[in-house]
Amino acid sequence: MPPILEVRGLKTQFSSPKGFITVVEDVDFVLEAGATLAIVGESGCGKSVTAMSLLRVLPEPPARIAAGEVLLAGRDLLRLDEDQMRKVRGRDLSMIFQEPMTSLNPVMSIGKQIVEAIREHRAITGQAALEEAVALLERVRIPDAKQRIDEYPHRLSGGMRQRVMIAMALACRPKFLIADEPTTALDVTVQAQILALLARLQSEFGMGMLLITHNLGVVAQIAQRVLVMYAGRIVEEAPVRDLFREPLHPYTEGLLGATPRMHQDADEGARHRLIDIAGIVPLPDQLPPGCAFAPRCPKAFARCHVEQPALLPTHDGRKSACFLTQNSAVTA
Amino acid sequence: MNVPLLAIDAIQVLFPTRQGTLRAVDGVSLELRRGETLGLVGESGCGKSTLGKTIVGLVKPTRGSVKLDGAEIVGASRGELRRHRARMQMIFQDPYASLNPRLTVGRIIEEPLGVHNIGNKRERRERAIALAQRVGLHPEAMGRHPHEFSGGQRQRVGIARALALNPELIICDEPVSALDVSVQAQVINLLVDLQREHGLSYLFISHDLSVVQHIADRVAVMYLGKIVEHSPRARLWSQPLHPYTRALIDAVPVPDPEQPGLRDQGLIEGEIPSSIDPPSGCHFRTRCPFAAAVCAEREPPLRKIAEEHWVACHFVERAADGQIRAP
Repeated sequence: MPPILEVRGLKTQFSSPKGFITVVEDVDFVLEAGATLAIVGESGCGKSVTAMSLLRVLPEPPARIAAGEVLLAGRDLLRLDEDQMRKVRGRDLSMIFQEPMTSLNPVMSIGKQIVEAIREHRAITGQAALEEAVALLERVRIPDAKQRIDEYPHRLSGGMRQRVMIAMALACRPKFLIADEPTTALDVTVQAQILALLARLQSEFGMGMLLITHNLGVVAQIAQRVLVMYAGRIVEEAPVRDLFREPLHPYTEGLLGATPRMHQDADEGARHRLIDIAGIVPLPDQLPPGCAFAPRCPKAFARCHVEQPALLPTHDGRKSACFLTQNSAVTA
Repeated sequence: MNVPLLAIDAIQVLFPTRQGTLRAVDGVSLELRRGETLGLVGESGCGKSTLGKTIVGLVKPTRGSVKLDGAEIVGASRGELRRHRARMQMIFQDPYASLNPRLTVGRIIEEPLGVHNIGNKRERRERAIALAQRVGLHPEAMGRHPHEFSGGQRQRVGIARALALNPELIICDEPVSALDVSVQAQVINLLVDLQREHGLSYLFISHDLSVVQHIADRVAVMYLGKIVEHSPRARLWSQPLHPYTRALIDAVPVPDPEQPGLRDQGLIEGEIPSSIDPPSGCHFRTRCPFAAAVCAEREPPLRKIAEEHWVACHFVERAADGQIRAP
């Protein structure tokens, strides 16, 4: 059986002068080995906090994981102490971030940092680790890896730094890679290189990947399954093709309609009008009662403003948290 | 009537640095007609923002000319510049950095009217309220300060302020890049509507080719201080001729899983070199899959290939004939 990472009922809160504010609630999903699951949503939807909760890298306090389980081969990561968790990070689960400088040490050569990452989890000699570090840099396609290994992070371009961070994350061949907006800070031609690299490495290593992004183009290109988050909750889950072909949740529909599409605009004589979603994302401490999307939803009706729709299966392995899709679906 | 609203000719902006001369904009010529949107797209460091600032007079060019409706702006006196600025406004990526945090939104929108002595106090106030309403701000917003607003709302304030003097031209520098996609769509739609209502012309500067292709009538592609290709938007999509334009189009992740995905091969290698001491000849040659000896020796001029289509590549005829294709 291939390894599976299972998240159940995750709830993450931040303390504030007004008490605890829930920023992630009722998050359930399964990440399979070798597959890519994307979490997509706009800023403040809780996608990054979800990712950081799995690895337990949120500062506690002010953060606290108030409920839920993160099961890796049957073991609940949320119950591990910091020593045990450190062994999990890097070996089972690794993470890469939008800005590599936040996780690279500015005063240590990139070679030393990769060697450290390797020796953290494996008992091998410094020389052997160094050779592996060079091999890793070659795998992430850093030219002249042997010479570059003594460079410091600030001497590298943004794209090269991201490659170094990927090399470090893969040093111990983790089962799962969490990539939080890995290409958002990069120019588009470099983004394409990094996305292609991630897809290739993933199939070579047989890793599961959890991709956190706001970019629907990136989702369409590399994910197999997608979770759409809004105001701290999953509002829709679907295989990528189904989601783009027939979005079930009105928020997903809005996101897709708001995205400019180069190929459509060019083919049509006149440009189509983007669908805008009225209003803005509510702050986590100012969530409306009922469905958090209801005040912006063109299809909302009375029930939406008083009752929270649960994320329920609809059809074909899809889930949606909307009364409209649930009414038309087979009731479980 | 044939005078273009904006004519930029051979603009060069050089900055001396300790490492050498930074060639931010290196000989750019463009024209913008009344009522149209010219998109200017390129990756970081290509000089697109510097060019925008040069047009409104925030950056002084080393060489070249910028004409607004036939009148020269480079080297104009302060009084002349002030008159030009009333006709030409700019909106920025981060409106927070360009809005005075101490003023209320009402005062911010009104301020240009006061500077130019337009109307009396009451008239200015009324105009500001009407503008705020038009860009979709709540009347309550007038008494609040910029920090009380979201990014999208602040961009609306920036747009209302830019509209105060009834400009003919707005330079939009990455106006939606910092916004979430749902809010980005609101601001793009607002800009499109305002253009139709007021006959505005836009120079729309962005790194995002999808956004530029959506909003622009014509698109100019910049790379390391130079325009490499310039054409109507539909043609840029259907017949991109410069290898860099093709690479940009190929690199944009298409929001459609049915479309062919990003291939590991065929993507251009490397990253943009520094604008200090850029490559000789064609600036793109170090990343170009078709580069030959001539590309290092001679700079390819921007040549007219078809009606309204200019390309700066030595091998453009072969690209147009389909003899060379992206690998």
